[in-house]
Formats: sequence, C-alpha cells, structure tokens
Amino acid sequence: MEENFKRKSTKEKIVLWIVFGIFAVYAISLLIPFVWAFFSSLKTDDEYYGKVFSWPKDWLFSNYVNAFSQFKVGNVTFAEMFVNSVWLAVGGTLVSVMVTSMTAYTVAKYEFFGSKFLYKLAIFLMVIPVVGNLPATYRLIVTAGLDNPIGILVLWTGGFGMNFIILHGAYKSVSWTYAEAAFMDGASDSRVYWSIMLPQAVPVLVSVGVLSFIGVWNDYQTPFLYLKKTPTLALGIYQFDLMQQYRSNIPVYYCGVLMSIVPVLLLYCFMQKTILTNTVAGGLKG
Amino acid sequence: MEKSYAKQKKMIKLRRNLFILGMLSIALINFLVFWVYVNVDSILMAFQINTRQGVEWTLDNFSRFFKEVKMPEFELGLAIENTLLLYLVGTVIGLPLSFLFAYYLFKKVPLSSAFRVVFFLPSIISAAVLVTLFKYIVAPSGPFNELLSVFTGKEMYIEWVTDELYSMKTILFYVLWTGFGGNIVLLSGAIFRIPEDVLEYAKIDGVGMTRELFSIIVPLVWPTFSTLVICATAGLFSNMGPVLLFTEGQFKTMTLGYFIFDKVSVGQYNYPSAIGLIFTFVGMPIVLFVKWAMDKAFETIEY
Amino acid sequence: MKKSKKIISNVLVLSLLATTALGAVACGGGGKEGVLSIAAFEGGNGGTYAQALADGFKKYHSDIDVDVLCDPTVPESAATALESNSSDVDVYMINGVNIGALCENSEGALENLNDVFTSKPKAAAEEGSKTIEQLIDKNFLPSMKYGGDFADFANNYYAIPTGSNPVGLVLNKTALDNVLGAGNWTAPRTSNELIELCDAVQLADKTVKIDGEDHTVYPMIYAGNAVEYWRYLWYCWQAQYDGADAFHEAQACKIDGEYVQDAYFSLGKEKAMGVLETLITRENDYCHKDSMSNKHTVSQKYFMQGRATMMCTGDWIENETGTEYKPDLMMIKAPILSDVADLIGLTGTAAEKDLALRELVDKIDAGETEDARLTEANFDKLVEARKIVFTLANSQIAVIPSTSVNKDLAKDFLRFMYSKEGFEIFLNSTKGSRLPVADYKPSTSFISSMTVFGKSVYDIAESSPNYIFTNTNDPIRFRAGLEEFLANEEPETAMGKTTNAVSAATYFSTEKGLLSDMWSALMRQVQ
Repeated sequence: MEENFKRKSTKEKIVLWIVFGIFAVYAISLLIPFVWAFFSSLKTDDEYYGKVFSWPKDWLFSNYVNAFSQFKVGNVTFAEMFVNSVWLAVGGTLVSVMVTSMTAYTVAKYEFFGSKFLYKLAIFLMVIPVVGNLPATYRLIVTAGLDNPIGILVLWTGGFGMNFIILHGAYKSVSWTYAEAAFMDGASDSRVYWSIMLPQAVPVLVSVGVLSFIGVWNDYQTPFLYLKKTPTLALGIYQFDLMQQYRSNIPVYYCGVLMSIVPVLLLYCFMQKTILTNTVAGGLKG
Repeated sequence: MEKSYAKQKKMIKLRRNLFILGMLSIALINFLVFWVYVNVDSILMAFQINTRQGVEWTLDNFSRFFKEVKMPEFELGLAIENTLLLYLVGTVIGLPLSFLFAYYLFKKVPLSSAFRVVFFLPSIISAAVLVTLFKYIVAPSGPFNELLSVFTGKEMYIEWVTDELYSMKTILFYVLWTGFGGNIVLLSGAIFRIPEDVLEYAKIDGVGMTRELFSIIVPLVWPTFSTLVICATAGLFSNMGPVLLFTEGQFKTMTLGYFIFDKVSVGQYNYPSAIGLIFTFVGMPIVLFVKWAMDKAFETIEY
Repeated sequence: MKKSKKIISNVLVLSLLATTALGAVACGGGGKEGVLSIAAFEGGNGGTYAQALADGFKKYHSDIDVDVLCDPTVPESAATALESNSSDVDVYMINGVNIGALCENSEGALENLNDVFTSKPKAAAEEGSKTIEQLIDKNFLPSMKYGGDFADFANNYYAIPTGSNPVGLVLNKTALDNVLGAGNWTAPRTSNELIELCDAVQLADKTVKIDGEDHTVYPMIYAGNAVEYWRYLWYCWQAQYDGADAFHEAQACKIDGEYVQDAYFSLGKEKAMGVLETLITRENDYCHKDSMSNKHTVSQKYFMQGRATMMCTGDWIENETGTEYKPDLMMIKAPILSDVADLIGLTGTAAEKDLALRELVDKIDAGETEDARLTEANFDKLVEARKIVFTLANSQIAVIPSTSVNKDLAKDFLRFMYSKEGFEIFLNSTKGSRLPVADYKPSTSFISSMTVFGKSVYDIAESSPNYIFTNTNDPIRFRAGLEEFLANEEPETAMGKTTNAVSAATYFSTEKGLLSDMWSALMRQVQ
C-alpha cells in the first residue's frame, strides 16, 4: 500500500491528502455519538441528566455488568442469542444470495419467454408498497409449521429484490465469451454457471452478501414473530430498547447498545479482510 | 444423420429449458406463495370498504385520495414533496458522492481500511439506536447547541427536530450523513472487479486521476451505479425515511411511506392500499424512464 | 458426469426447501393441551404479575403446566397473531385490542367470554354471591363488548379488564414547596386556579440545583412523544362540562344513540381546548422549554428532579423513574373547568364566580350534599363533575384467542384473576394496580406501605369516581376509521409547537370542517 502511494504524482498526492482531510472530518463526526455514548454509559442516570459536558463522576463499569444481566429474553442469555443470530444471518444470507444469484444470472444471460417480463416484475415488486400482508404471511408460516430456525429460512428464498437488480446488472457485464468457449468444449449450462460465471461475480456477490448479512442480523421482526424460543441479538436489543421506555436508565441503555455493536463490528472488520483478499483474487480461475 | 442431429439439438434445447426452469424454480415458487398468495387480498383491499353489510367493492378509496391531496390538513401534498426531497438528497446527491468516496478509498487514501469500517458503521447499527443518539446530541439543551453557543457567543436554543423550520432539514441531513455505507460497499465491489491491467495501461499512458475516474472507472462501473439509481427510484414512494423514529410525521415531516405506515398501524388497510396502488402506477413509468436514461448514457461493457 | 452434477445441484437446492418444510412440521407451532400459555405485556407495571398469577393459579390446578411469556413485544406479536387468527397462546394480557376489527375482519379471532362474566370468581372454590359482571365497575362493561351490529357477535363480551389506576394531573409537592414555600399554595380546584398557580410559580422565578447546576423551575412539563397524556386532564374538563354520559357517547360520535357530527365537537370540548391552549402555548411559557423535544422518560425524570411542579401522567411515574430524587408527589382530581360555573347558575364577575366554585368544590370534597347558592339539580351536576376521573383501565385487558386449545382452563384462569386472592396478587406484584372492583380493598398493611403518591392515587380510586376513557368500540371508529382527531397533527402539538402554532379555536373549526367533508363517507360504512 505504501509503495502504491509513493508511486503517485505530487498532484495526486495533494488531492488525496485533501480528500483524507474531508474523510477524517466525516469519520470523526460519525464516531462522536459513540464516544459520547461510551462516556455517558459510565454515569448514573441522574448524572446523565445533569450537566451536558462532564466526565463521569465514578466510572461505573458496573453499568456494563448490569446491562449484560438485563440483556435476557426469557431465559436465553447473550451468548445463546449471539449463536442464534449467527445461524440466522449466515443461513439467511447464503440462501438469499444463492437463490438471487441463480435467478439473476438466468434472467440476465438467457433469452426465453418471459425473461424481459421477469426483470420488469422485479422492479414492479420494488415499487409497489403492499400493506397489511403481515397477518396473512403469519398465518401461512404458522400453519405450515415453518416457525423454527430451519423452516424460517424459507422466507429468504425470494429471488426478486434489490439484490436481484444488482446481480442482474453485474452478470450482464460479465463477458459471455468464456461461456461460449466452454460450451464449445461441451460444458453444460450448469457447469458454466457454477465454474465460470459465478466466480467472476464473486466481488459483487460478496458485497451483496455482506449487506444481506447485516440486514438479517439486525432484523428483529422475524424473530419476535416466529422464533420466540430462539431469540436473536436483534430481538434482544429491540426488547431492551422497549424496556427503557418503562425503566429509564439511559447509561445502562447505552451500555447495552455499545455491547450489541461489538459483535457486528468485529464480524464486519473480519469480513472486510476476506472481502479485500477475495476481490483481488476474484476473477477467472484457469 | 440429419435426424440424429435434429434430435441432438432438441435434447440440448430441452436441457437448457430444464436448466432455466431449475434455476428459476425456487424464486418462482417463493414468489407465488409468499407474494401472490399472501398479497392478493391486500391488493384487492384497495378496491374495498367495510360496511354494515360486509365488504363492498368501490373506487371510493381512490377518489378519497384525490380529494384529500388538495387539503393541507391531511398533509398529503406535503408528503409527496418531502418524499421527493428525500430522493433528491439520498439518491441524486448521495449516490454520486458515495461513488466518489468509493473511488478515493479505492485509490488508497491513507487509512482507507479504517475509513471503510467507520463509514459503514451507521449501516451496521440499528437505526433506532443511531437516531436516539443523534436526537440526544441535537436536543435543544444538548451538546450540539452548547457548542454552537460557545462558537457564536450567543445562547443557541434551536429545536432541530421539533421546530418546523428545521425538522425536515435535520432529517435530510441525517439521511445524507448516514447514507454512504451500503452504497460504498456495493460500488467498491464493482470497482474492484475492474481488471488491474486496464488501469495499469492507463497509468502507463499517463492518464491522470480525473480522466481515469470519468473515462475508465465510471463507464466500467456504470451497471452497478445505474442499478443503485434504479433501485432507489423504485423505492421512491414507499421509502418512509427515518421519519418514524424522528418525528412520527409531525412538524411538517410527513412522507408518503410514513402516511401509509401510520394508517396501517391503526388498522386501516383499504385507504393506504389504494394510495400504494396509485403511486405504483405513477412510479413504474418513472423507474422505467430512469432505467432507459441510464442505459442510454453508457453502453454496458462486458469484461 | 456434467449432467448428473447439474441434476445433483438442483436436487440439493430443492431438497433444502423440502426438508425445511418437512422437518419443520415436526417442531412447528400450535398450543399444547394441558399447558396454559399466557403472554403478558411487560411495561410500566413490571413483568412479574403474570408469573405471580400463574403460580397462584397452579396451586389449585396441580395437574397442569403454565407457560408464561412476559415482555414488551407481546402487544405487537399479539396483534399479528390475533389478526391472522393463528395464535398459539391461551391468554393475552395486553394494553389494547381492537375488538370490533378482530370480530368482523378476522372471522371472530376472540373467544366469547360471556360465561366468564356470568360466573363467580373462583380460587379454591367459588367466592361470594356476585358474578364477575356485577363486580366490575359498570363504566367499563360496554367497552368489553363487541360494539357493532353483526349478529354473530352482538352483545357478547370479548375482553375483560385487568388492573389499572386513575391517571391525571400530578403535583410535585416538594417542588411547589421549594418555589412558593410550604403552606403558601393549594392544590387547584378550578382551571382558573390552576392557571393562577402557574402564574405564581412563574413569578417566583426560582431555580433548583441539580448536580451543581441551577435549573429554572417551570410550572408544568410534558413530553413531545406522549402529548396524549394531556388528555388525562382536558378530557375531564370536556366531560365535566358536557356530562360523563355525553362524553362516552361522543366517543362514538353519537347523541342519544344517533350519529351526529356535533357530538364530536361539543361545546365542552371547545372550552376545554381553550384552557389547554392557555397552558401549553409557548407565549405563556408555562411549560418547560424542553418539553416538546423530550421523551416521556426524560420529562418524567425532570419532573421528579423538581424542574417542573406539575405534570399530567399516571401511577407508573414512581415505578418507572428510578432516581435518587424522591420528591413527594400527589395526584389530584382534575380541577373543575371554570366555565362550569355558568352552567350551574353562579353569577357575578369571573373572579367572584370562580371563588364560589372553589368553595363549592371544597364543600363537595368534605362530603356535604347541598349549598344555598345552587339548586339541588345544579349541585348534583357539580358533584358529578367532581367525580370525573380519567383512566386507562378499559384498555388494560385480557383476551382469549379463539384458536386456544385450553379454553376452559383459560377461562378458569380469568375467574381466578377476579378472586380475592387474584386481586391481592395483582396488587402486590404491580405495587398498586388494581382490578376495577369496588368491593375489593387493599389490605391495611399494603395501604400503610404506600408512598405519599401511591396514597393519593388510592384516595382518588376510593372516592367512587365516575371513570371516563377513550373508547373505539363503535363501528364509526373501528370500521369507518374515524380517528380521535382528523387532521394529521395532534391538537397538543399544533398548539404547543414553536413555529406556526395554532390557536384552539382555529384547530377546532378546522376539525369541524374536516369531519363535515368526511361525513358521508363515514356514514356509508356504518349505516
């Protein structure tokens, strides 16, 4: 990285340093609320409502212990909720990205009766706001017995959403020549998809996957409707948030909030590294 | 010989069709079950009202909209205006800015990996949490006003969220301030797919950053960029923005998405369903036009 | 090889779907017979009451199991489960359910509770001689029924009240003593006296020291995210002027059983809104300047700290607001709307009439039954006005979904809840919330353990109040969708906001115009 930077012209370097300045200001502005929340989390509730700018009197790290013990849904602990979150997020993301990829690829690369219609359908589905369908969905899921951690993955088998549009665009720009060469060698459509085209779209797939992962991770509605016995962290936070309406203790609330950010943040930092290594390696494999 | 060749062609075609069907089957089943079956009642509700005699078919919900949109007390006209403002800030301004951010991060601005994480922070955190923090900071007796007071020497007591003069602007600022994360990730993914050799050759040819950006990167990443624009335009009318968390639609911050949500939350389905349909008919042509325009701007280059 | 790979991969994916569906059926939803499943709302009253009731119930039913879920998301999931008529819970104890819509639109999602109401309470054995219907404060009975006229549901009970308490204007005695001096103020008896008290606090211009910082003490405070708390006060004024019965009918936009536009916009409402405007408008500066931006937890906190002397809130304030500040709070009955003086025939200048009114209120509170200045009818009218208390009790309810597999057990549970033992359990685990049964009294030990505030709430509850509440039981509310206020903006927000605040008169006339526009569409759905 250093090498790369040194090789740039002086003019470029100046521009990059200016941009660095802008980025730094923006980044600091994003971090300030969390720094604020951290210092507030170490106060008592009364202190919090006191002076606006003040250091915590007694640095109450005990608030974190308090928050941790309050962070329970029924008898399920923080650790169990974390595991449930991981299962749901990984499972949901895999299913969603795989199905969407298959659908987007087929519509983007093959012309068949209805292919153009399917694309317009995907857009239509994004435009139309359907209201009041929650009871019907609920009834369907409960009657079919899908309200458990495995069955609920069915909710993520939808192939027509924003991810479809993105992957459709991505696949459209992947060159067909490799595929044609493979067909001439006798490869089947399936082999072309799995071995040639899919790997080319890996960077976009990974980006879409990351965003889907975060979305599923933060989704609390699905757990509280269908997975009451196996709650996730998102549900824990939501309930914790609601409880604060009735038991005002803002510092403890901030503790809970900051604690809940940590797992996702660590996951994202870790995934970012794999994303970067993957994207550089992503491309046609011999 | 010819017969078996024709037969082979038929076999290939059959296999291809099976492949297509197989690939689409899961999404299609999901669509039929979880969209068509579940939603057909909800969509039909737009054409119904409940009366003493039961359910009646009518176009009243639609005529009600056209009547109420002209009445300021229902804030429907304002809702449309605010919705368009959200689109302007979030998409027309926000997306190109996100793209620039993604580009400079790609150019390895110092500390770019740290920046990536920080910029993405708002997208990771639940919106409720972030808005709560934000609201505390801009509260009238909160830190932001205190700092303003110090800098200006005057007592600053501005109600950034609960004063009509500022509330929508505050929400728009928030949308822009937190809106970079997801877009940067997607655009970065697209930029990373550009073959390194193309950029190397350009560098050897003496292409500077600006030219590289506009003549090489933009055209190559255009499909991803344009799909983000198209998606944002598709969600134009149903996006309620963070209005629920900030103001619940008060202080002149009503949006169409929130209007619909509000009616649904008190158990009214017919009227918001009709409004949803009206804006689907308005929105579809707009989205298709935007798609056409975006496709016209740059040809899709395959690589 | 390639062909089979394609087949395999497709089969794998499809089988994923199949196994999820199949394997899931084994551990799918649905209630269990013999296991009573209770889902309760955990809110201001805490989360232990449901378990405590369940434990008490189990003593008399040792052969069954009880499964209790108590958390703040229960009302949301209950709404979806009931609307889709596929709940697996046997008893919901939540804060608000749309009986009309659930009956009409969800094919009768609620179980008919008539037999619970016509039976007697039961713990170990049946208790007493009164049925539950006879025990419950009769004010609440109509709102427990389906309010429309579909034959299948008409006149049936579908909900039963759980515990609650009066809500209303709360004074911070400690703060008032701090600002005006102990003994230098009285709890306001009329709305004019309330305004005078606000003036006095404002004039005194005192501060309170919190954490080393001085904060101005305001007369009143409220919260922007809970402006409806104001209605605990000004709806009482409306009912005092129009009469409690007229108020209840007005909820259904009716006068004498007929739909009438003016029912919604009565004279009492107009006058009450006028007084509300005086209290809430920024021009008078009676309300704490942070009120509109505050969440209710923050405003309640400020109130407890003494930054304001009065707030409209409920009995949860002491439970909810954990703080080292423990002031003496006092809930008072809504002061009498000063315009009532004209209704009951008092004469003189405005000041004279109000003085007379205050004396009369004192007399009524002391238990006297007549006064020379008023006719018997007018005195009774004033007595009735003084009895009016706002409550949320009609929305703290329990229901049984019609999909329950333990209906008889669930009904027994409700009967247990209404026994003396159930009453005590509820009272103790919520620290003061009581079933609306006048015959049941808290024990003397409980009363002596009450705080000053708790005692003030208890006193109001014991004064044979005439309860008023908001009620959406009529088809014009739940079917036609007539909301509390037609404009998008709540009146408190419209009158209390910084910029472009609206006067009560303007808001009132705008509302009238809107109702007039919508009237024919509304009538189409209810007639």
